[in-house]
Amino acid sequence: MDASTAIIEQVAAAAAAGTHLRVRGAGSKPWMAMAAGDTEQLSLAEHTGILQYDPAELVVSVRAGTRLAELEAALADQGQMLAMEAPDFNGASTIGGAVALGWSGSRSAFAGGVRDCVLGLRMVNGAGEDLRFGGQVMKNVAGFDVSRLMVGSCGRLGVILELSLKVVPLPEREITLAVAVPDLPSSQAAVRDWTGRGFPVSAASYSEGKLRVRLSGRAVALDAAGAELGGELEDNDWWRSLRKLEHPLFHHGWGDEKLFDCNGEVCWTAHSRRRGDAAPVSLVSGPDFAKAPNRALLARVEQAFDPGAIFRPIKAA
Amino acid sequence: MTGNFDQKLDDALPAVDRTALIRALAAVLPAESLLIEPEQLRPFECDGLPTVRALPLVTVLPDSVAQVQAVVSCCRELGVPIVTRGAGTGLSCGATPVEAGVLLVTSRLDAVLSIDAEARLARVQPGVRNLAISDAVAEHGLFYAPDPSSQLACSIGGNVAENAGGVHCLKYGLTINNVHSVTVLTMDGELVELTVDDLGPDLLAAFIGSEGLFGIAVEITVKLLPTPPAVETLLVAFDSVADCSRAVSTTIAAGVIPAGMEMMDQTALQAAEDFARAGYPRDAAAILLVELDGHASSVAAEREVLEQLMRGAGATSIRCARDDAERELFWKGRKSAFPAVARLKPDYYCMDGTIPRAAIGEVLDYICERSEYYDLPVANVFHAGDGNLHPLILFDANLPGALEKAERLGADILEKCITLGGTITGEHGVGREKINQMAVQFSDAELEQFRRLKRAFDPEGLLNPGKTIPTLKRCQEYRSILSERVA
Repeated sequence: MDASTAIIEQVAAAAAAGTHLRVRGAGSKPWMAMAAGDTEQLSLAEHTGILQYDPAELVVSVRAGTRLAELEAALADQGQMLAMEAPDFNGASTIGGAVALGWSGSRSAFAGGVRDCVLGLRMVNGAGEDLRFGGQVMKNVAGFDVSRLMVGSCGRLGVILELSLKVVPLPEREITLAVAVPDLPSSQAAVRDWTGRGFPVSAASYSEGKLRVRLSGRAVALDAAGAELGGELEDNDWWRSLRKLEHPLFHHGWGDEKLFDCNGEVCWTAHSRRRGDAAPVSLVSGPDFAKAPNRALLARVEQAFDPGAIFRPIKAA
Repeated sequence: MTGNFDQKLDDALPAVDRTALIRALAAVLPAESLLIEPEQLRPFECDGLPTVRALPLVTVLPDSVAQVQAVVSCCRELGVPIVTRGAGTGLSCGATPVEAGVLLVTSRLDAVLSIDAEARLARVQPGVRNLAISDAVAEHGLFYAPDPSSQLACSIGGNVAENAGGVHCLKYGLTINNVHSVTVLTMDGELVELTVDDLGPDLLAAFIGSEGLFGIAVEITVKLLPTPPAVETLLVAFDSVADCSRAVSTTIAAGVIPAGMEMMDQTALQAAEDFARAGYPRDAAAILLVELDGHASSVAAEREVLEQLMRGAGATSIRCARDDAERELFWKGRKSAFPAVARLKPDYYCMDGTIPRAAIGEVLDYICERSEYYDLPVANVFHAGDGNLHPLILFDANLPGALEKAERLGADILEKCITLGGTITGEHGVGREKINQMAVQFSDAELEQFRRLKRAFDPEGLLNPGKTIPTLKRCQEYRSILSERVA
């Protein structure tokens, strides 16, 4: 259903009245954009549906309130998938929320993350303007890359209404191999060796002395990999449990234990995710923008999209 | 109405005291880094698209980040615009100087600062040539994937400014997908590090492709990939352009994503063959160059599937490069297509529209029709796998009105790309060249959002003024010309 008119009107009204809005998709990540007490909610729950999908173009255009799971099922029907695997909280996350948060899943270290798969979008800025950036083609450098700028913006620059995303063919086969290793560096060294030999690694995690590697590709290549690399064949469900945050670690932790996904680029501890050298993000209180780098520049960018700060009720710049 | 700078349509440039500027720059730069004589400035009057030319007030060639900072500081204090230029190979007049400004050339900042073979990252200065990165890391079995045809000469700083692509984008993506972080010098003199790991909106993504309007990239960390152990390059011939176009869509629809998939029509392939002796079949109506890479077993499996698809689509011959030497020859033909076509007529004008793959046939018919209408031949070379077209319009600029005709034909092609759901530029950028078409692709509100974003990075508007985002006045003027034409 197309709820864009109502959404744009609600933003324009808030801009005129100087009130704050808190953007909400399906509410699977209530901590993403924490709000002041009297903040009005802007819901994308009714703004759903696939707008355009021609598998031969490797692009899908979808309304932002569409559930990730629903979108992925439609793609799988045509033998395709999104070119990234953003976390799907409680199986309820929307594609708009996944892009706004911008967390890339296990595939990101090898095949790109959320930002690599966003080709274009339609959005409403803080002035209530209906804007389109990017497009539905693979290569597009006309104007500044606002579509990708929105990745990770956590609703602070505007409301994403529609997204055009890159899709890829489903691999012919996927397998997971597990190998005992002493630590993260040796796990990374093994992955370096495997990718260097051309094996189609699509995910690598390290936890509890175990490297798990997922290979995605032609069946013959995976047969060759299995024979050459050894390791124990495991269920692919491991990656699903990471993606859906079903692993016990996410909920009650393992004491001091850590789980490294994305070949070490992402580190999970209880209720918290850290990427690279960035500040950890809590799954309880959400990202702390006071800890974002380049605060002054970021504040000016926020101002450029949302001069009345209607999307930045608290956690001020 | 051309992309040339026009005082009535573009924002006025500031009045600059050239003597004071030279005095200030001379105090912070060694004499050999400051060019002020007209004959020294002449080589910098245009980039790879010579249709727009201008002499800068001065050209500076800093050899350290400290010198770049000093130049920026002088220009900020005196209110002087800066145009940053890499190797000058750009094809959209993005590095064309402004007459009231400094041209800052990054070619002397050409050090590979460090290589981390384990993390597969290389930290380089902006003047390092694209191919020099792959050369520097080859001993580790690694390479830098984006490979514009100008990769021998173009610099990574320019690649970042334009979000450059190349012939292997289909699998490996553009510059945006292969850069880990950039250290940006902003006009207020601050060094800002933007990385893929940053919390919040993706400022790194916004910076890449900002065409020198946001800041000056002084250090770039690129991602490296392991050199694929197996590569197969197929040269596939068709006796009709339509069959060739269909073969592209069929391949993608069948779930085969080659590393690269390039198409050339007969005019282009014959010119390339005459120039490079690449072994292209001169009698083909169109050819595809398709490259598969990865593990030997999967490359072999994909090659089998691909050959079947190509035969099914009506391929008249399929040749697989026998060895690296032949593969290089196949690619040499493709990568030298522009200079090869340039030998057919005194001048050529290269377009860069992108369209959905399914529309390739339709847009080629349209180009053919417009080419006859304007009586200018067009050679087609393009990244078929991702729908990025490079029609080359051939003309003789010495004939009166020929350049204007070529520009009109180019504008018609770009505007057709927009109608078909595509874009006016896939990888070359807007610069001055496509400034008018921005008014067709974007609404006033969208263009104003671009201007506000620009001011967030560069509040005084001193970086590359007049490029990329047209003024409201220019948009109104161009749109009214278009609607008159339609009427």
